[in-house]
Amino acid sequence: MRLLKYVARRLLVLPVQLLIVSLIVFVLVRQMPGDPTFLYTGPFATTDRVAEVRRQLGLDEPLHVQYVRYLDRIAHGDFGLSMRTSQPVVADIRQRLPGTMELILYSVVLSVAIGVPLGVYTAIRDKGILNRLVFLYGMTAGALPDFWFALIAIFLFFYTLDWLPGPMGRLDLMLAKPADITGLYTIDSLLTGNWAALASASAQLALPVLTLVFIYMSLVLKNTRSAMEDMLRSDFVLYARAAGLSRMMQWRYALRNAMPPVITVTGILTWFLLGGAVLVETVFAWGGLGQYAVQSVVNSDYAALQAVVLLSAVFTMAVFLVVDLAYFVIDPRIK
Amino acid sequence: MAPLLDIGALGVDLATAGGSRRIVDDLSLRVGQRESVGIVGESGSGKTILIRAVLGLLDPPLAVAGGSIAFDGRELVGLDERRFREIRGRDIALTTPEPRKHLNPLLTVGRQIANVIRAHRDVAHAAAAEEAIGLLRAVGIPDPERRMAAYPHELSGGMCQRVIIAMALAHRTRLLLVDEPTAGLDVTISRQILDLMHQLAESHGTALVLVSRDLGVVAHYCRRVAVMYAGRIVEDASVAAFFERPVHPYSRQLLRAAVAARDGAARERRSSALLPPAETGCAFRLRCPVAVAECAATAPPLAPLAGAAGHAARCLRAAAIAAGEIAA
Amino acid sequence: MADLTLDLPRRTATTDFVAFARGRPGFLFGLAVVALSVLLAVFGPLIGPYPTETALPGQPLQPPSWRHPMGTDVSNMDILSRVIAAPRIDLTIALVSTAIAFVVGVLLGVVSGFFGGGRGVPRLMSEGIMRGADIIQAFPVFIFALALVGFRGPGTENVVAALAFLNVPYFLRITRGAVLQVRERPFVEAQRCAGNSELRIAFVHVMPNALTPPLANLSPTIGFSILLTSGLSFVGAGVPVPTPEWGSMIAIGASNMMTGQWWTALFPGLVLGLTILGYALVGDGLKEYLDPVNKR
Repeated sequence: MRLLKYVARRLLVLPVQLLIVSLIVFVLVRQMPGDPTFLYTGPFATTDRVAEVRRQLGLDEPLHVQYVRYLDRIAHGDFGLSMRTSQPVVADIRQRLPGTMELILYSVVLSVAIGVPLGVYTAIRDKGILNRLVFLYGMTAGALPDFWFALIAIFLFFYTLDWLPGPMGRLDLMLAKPADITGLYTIDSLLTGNWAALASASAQLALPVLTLVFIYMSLVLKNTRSAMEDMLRSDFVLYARAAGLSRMMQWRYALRNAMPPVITVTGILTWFLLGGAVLVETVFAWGGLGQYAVQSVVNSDYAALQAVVLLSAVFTMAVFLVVDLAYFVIDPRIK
Repeated sequence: MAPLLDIGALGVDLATAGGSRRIVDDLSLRVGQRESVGIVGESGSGKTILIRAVLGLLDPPLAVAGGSIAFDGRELVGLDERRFREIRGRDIALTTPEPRKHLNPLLTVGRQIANVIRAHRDVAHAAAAEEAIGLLRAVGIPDPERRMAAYPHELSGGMCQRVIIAMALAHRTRLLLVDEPTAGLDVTISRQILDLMHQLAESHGTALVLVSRDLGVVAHYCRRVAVMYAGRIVEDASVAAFFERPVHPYSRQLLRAAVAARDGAARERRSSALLPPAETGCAFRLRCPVAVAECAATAPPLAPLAGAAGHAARCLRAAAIAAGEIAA
Repeated sequence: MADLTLDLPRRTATTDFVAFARGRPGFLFGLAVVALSVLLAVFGPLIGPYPTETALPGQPLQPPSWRHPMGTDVSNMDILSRVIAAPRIDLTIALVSTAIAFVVGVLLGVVSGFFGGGRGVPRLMSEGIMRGADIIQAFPVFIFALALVGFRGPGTENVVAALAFLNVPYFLRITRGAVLQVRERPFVEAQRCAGNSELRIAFVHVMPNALTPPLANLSPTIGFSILLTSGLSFVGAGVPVPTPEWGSMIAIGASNMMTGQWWTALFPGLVLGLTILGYALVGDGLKEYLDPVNKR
């Protein structure tokens, strides 16, 4: 009941946020140099033709009318045509989104699955070789450029050792795509028992996921460790110890209280990964949303870029909504 | 009868960058079965460190650096963490000031009490919960069944203190260490809490060590009083003897300040009260009105007063003060 | 437990900076990196053994040798010369954009912190500033940077503008946090009694006392901006080829990494990573130095 109320209140704010975000994107697009009409007509069109396209595009209207039109169109799922692919932007995105989601999903899951236990462990035992290694790792990983690390990983594991396939997209070119259920190749191939596709998709995922996990896991690791350290020093853990609770119980008390910050940092990680995926996708020719964003920038494909930016903001809001809900479930103090 | 707690010449060191500093020094204290002893002193005098040392809760940079703590004839200094765990909460329990900060904010109080019960007895969750309800009732929390599901932030400070007491008395505790029981509570609430603790301790046959800055509280609930200054006990006496004729100049200052506070008189203001303890000789000598040259040369031991059984003071001029020859 | 918070000996503000740095190899390393990067930004393009934007005669893709310690790239440009020339553009972009973000962020932070929780117009302003920061931070950083540059077209000034814009909310929040604490100090009330106007108190008396946190975050932000610049250049949305820039050098070497010419991307990235690490370590060290209470 408490939860329902909270969700309802949060969902009420969401449209307002969306509206503001859409306004920003709208303003951004008007920032672009020159008259976008010529992008559609070409530089040698007649004045009549230009005026016609201007009218079609709605550019002859006052700005606020244009904005309302724009809102109306995106509300109906119409993001225009991509100039580069000549397809509706929505179709392009639908095709590319799963690839990015697959990348982010595995990266987040692995970062949390490795980073949290390692952070907890290093907080509990504050000495030893592992601690020093983890300290060094935490210090350096955040400073390395992800796209560079990806190239090094390719050189090592593809060129030198030949353990993993090269940066050629999400699936071996010789294989047919698995049946489209979720769009995530690993899951779809698993569901349909397509083992060849599963093996190939997993192998293709290995290097980009390794890159993202290596670079961004330090965030989870460091925050888990410091949250855990703070909690182990807290008065209630001290009292639990004074009351004769076992080490294990003291750790459980600390861990539970360290969870809210860990959840927050998982949200931040997901948000970071969406940006990090752009560069890593480019390196691995991943064909996801990130690479699409880069291609739209390089080719001045404004309709596409606009949609990707808007979508990334919506994704961010969704992530932080989930974070807030998780917080709410864990911490009874939040009203 | 052997004392329940026998602390002898205890020292606690604080490790610092430039070596270590003695925080508690040459501290001896005995607490008999069912006895109630008050420890008074200003903040920073080492009272809480002493309590933590007894519970084996000192972590680096703090460490016991000599002396002994015998509980019921068993040496606690050097005991490993696993053995100590068996004693904590079961034989020696603790209550704290600021009780809410000492409760796990994300767990219901019922669950926390049950966890304390299960820490020392192999009982099922349901049975422990049942017992916890009984404990909540015993510490005077109304509607205990419903309160079991409450989180610490939903309870008042006084209620949280009662929950802490319930945890401290979840086992047949032989010794209850009460740290600043009145800090942060209303006067009326703290009275109720103290009465409750005292009454439960009496009925359980539990000995009390009550650490407080409030002499009035100690006078009311304890039979003996030990005054701490700069990590040492400077006077140890029965409550009656102490309030009738305190010997150590520091005790006398404390008592005067307490009386003045009670009578609403202006607080005795002395710039000397801000002086830190002396490093050599008697630690109190810089603030002492009757210090003589000798006080700088020798650190006096805690010595029994002639003709007053069970009364000891750490002062070179104790005999003269006791005899009324000089006024401190 | 009340007096368990012991008075451990604490570092005082007067502690000698040199003595502080001496015990911290990480901090010293960072300082060295920062100094070196500044030197290279000034002199880098002049001291390299070969030209930085023109191909050399002969075979391209030469592996590291005495003549070319970092090898040559696909157009036979000397990688070492380009690596040490790169700080000029990378550092300039990072410094200028961070400076702009600092000034704007601190000013907005003072306004939003000092007038937050009040009433009337100042309060609305404060709330508006914070919501604005929220919105900017609703976009994933790199995608937003990409979009800002994308919509305005590539070019150095647009990269600077994009990074400055992105870093404003960061300084804004840090400053606001500091101001919220400073404004509760007694001297603020004293200034009010002395008849100073609110605006004067905010900027003359509160702001100088709230500058430590944003100042300590200058260095890591410069590092982060270098990272973003190189990322933008890597995908072709930042500094255009052939200007020596670490990210674009890595891009030039990217395809060679898959065919075994590891030196093409390794060295620019290594230097880039070390530079970012250096700036981050200086930030950590300064934070510790300036805030004795947070000392571990």
